[in-house]
Amino acid sequence: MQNLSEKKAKQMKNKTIKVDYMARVEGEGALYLKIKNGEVADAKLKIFEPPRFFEAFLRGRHYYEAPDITARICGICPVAYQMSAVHAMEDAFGVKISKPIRELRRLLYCGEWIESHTLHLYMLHAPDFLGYDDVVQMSKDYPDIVKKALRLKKVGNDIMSLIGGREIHPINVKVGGFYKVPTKKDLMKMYDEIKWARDAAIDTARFAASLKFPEFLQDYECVSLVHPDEYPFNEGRIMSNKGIDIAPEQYDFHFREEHAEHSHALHSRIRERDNYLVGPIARYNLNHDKLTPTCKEVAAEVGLGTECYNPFKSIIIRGIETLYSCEEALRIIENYEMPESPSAEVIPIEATGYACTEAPRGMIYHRYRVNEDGLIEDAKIVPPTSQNQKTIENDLKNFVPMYIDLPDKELIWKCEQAVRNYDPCISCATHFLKLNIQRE
Amino acid sequence: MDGSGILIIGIGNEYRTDDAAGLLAARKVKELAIPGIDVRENNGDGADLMEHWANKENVILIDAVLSGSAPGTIHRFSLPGPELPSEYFRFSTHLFSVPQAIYLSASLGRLPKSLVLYGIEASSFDSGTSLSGEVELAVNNIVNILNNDINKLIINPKGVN
Repeated sequence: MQNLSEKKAKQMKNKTIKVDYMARVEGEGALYLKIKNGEVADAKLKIFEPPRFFEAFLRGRHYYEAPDITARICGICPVAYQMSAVHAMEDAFGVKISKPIRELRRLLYCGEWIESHTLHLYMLHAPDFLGYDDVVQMSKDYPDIVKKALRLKKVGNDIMSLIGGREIHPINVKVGGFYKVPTKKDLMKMYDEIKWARDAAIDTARFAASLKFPEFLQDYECVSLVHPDEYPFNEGRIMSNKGIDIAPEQYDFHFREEHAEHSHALHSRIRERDNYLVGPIARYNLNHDKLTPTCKEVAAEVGLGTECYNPFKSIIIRGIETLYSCEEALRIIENYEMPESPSAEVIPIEATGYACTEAPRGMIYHRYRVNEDGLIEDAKIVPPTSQNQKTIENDLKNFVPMYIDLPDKELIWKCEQAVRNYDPCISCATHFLKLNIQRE
Repeated sequence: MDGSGILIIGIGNEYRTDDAAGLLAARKVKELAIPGIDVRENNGDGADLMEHWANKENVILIDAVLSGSAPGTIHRFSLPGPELPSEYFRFSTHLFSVPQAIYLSASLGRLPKSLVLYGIEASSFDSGTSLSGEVELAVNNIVNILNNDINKLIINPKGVN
């Protein structure tokens, strides 16, 4: 008969742990971990939210409806979706936009990045590091930090409202530009608050860097847009640290989506290799030289280096990218000249258009085939979370053995924290994350 | 009659059948055109709610709930007061639910002086734009209840607790 300690050891090695609802992620999914003989035998991010069929909704619709339809994919990063649709249509029809329109689009991205990064960094992820169940608990001990976070998030929302017409699912964006553009005076009304936000973002990066991180380095293939002159929002070549250097129209030749039985979201892979990483770490590693001097100074000050391969430190990069967004917003406002026309002329032709842009949580790919009447015949949308799914699973396979002897409650906490490194937007990918650890 | 300082927020998703109850009730109150009453709509995002009620003294929220009561039942919660039953409001797909927004505001000392939350018991959150019969009736009833609350607040702006 086994004694008590032997029994306990066996249970630790082979066990089933279930958590029904994992909070602080957007969407509905589950995480399944099978632990056999003290090792992770299987890790699956199960996305069971029903498919949302956005690509099918788009078929038969006019090209100009795509920005408003795709904005509904996500309430947190609608800009990246609608702007990807806009860019793809403009690519198809050969539309050229004026510099002020391009600048306003970047300003809209600044708003989305500030709002989304701040929400995730302070409200969703920081409680993991500080040992709180949620931001409500955290606010009791850190009221000033939470107040600052709410004000910072509001700056992002206000930028989105001014440029996009409203903060969620903006309505002012169209193929060719905007329905209405702001005056310089309109933009200057936000200037001082964005200056405050810039300082708050420096504090944010320092706050994030003060958290405790596990020693966990991964050999990621980082994939991001790279632009010769700027930190990427809405334009650039798709590049990786392992040799990919392609235009967005070549995406399908190098990346493929495949169905995994356990997920309603398609898994993305690099055709000739395997999983890859999109999002803040990938962008930072490939674009550190495009950051502003202040961003580089703060990154150096907090010990981030020019590259990062610890997914837990993505929270620091979100702080740096929030700072970048504030500085970029200030630059755009300072140099803004109201365009003569709010949009360029768009004449639809039979064509296929491609575009990639950078949502806060990673690169998005859109492809549309449009007929001579301007109706969409085919659409393909690849969101960041589906691209990161396999990498999240790999992280867990590699991370869990470091903590395999922890009591279940603590192990689950660590796993949830590891998943939230990705700021997963499961709704985008196809809503709750159930965590299910099985030890055998 | 002047309702300055009173904010009414209808919460919900008009494309999810009974989840639209709060929005529709708020729209009916707006139609009454009571001077000074600020009526707004919210899609359930708690962070956005907190911004709406910042610096407001008297706030009334209307949302659809699911507690197991008969459809159309009207629940009333007054804050500060007993803990909210968070499980009534679990159908938000947003990262901050209505109760979380209330708790976070309370923790930060940013709750309005008086906050009343009406919950209309829903029977369905399915896709669609029509209310169930019981909930439609409740929406009409709650407008009368709200009218009473508003009159009390106008007489006594310190709250309707």
